[in-house]
Amino acid sequence: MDRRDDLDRILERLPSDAPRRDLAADISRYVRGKRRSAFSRRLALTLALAISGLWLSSPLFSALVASLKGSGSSLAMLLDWIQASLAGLESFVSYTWNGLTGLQTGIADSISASAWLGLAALGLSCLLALDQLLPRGADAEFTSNGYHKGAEA
Amino acid sequence: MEQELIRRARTGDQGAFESLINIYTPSLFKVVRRMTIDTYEAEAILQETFWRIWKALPRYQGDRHFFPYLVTVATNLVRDAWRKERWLLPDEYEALADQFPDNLPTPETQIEAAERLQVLAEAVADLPPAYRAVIALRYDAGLSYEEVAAALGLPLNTVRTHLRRAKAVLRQKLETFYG
Repeated sequence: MDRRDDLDRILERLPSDAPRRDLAADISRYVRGKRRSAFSRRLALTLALAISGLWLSSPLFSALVASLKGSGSSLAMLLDWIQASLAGLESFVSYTWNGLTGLQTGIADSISASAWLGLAALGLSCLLALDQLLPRGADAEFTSNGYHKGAEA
Repeated sequence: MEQELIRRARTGDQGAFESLINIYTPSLFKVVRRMTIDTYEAEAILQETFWRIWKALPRYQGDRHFFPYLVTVATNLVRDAWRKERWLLPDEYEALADQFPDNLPTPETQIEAAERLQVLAEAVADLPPAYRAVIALRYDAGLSYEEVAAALGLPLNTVRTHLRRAKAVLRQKLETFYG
């Protein structure tokens, strides 16, 4: 193993510049400023995504609202589903599968690329907003020492 | 106490984080100042270090002690600054260091006065960055060889070699100074 010699002991006592008395306060101010600017940037991004998402997907929402108002379709679908359930498991699975496939195709056909883009932007803005609202380290686990385990550094 | 501050800072408590800044600034400054050209650079690196620590705290793993963690982040920033200059060791230093093995007669026993410590401090400041970093992390930060190697991203044997050569260069400079 390494032996400590006289030079080791001298190097441990080596003089160096002392920090300014207000350095810690300046660093705290710096961190606060960076936090504020980071928060502002994220807020602006969240709002921009939400607004552009709403604008891009507004035709989709308009059409959706109009169709819901016009037909009472949700009740009809519910009755169909109950009827299909009573008809037997096989027909239920088949009906549900066909229904979901049809729904998927219908959505894909009826929604334009810009509306998809808008929905994606809205979803992202929701995630960003949630990330800002949740407390830091909310997913953290602590050992009895107060240390965090499990997360990536 | 510090663990409680770290726990609170991880949940977003700015006051707890500022207490950590107050606790660790003097010792971290000492380490960083040894590695940097001047006080302004050291202060800038400290500021950026604490900002990065604040951002990384939610993912901080407590299996590492906090001060070595701070030192590692600061050292990475110092190395980033050095990359603009030259991180690699000048060949002439390596050759010089190899001429002065550890068992040469040394003037260490004579070095007691503050003036002599100052001479050594200036000799350290003249070392190439890689040697200076090893000295700062080993003696100013009090890190183990393993922690120094982790902080610098170097193999353990390289750290030992750097330290041995740095000390040989310092011995040689002291010997020259005192005739």
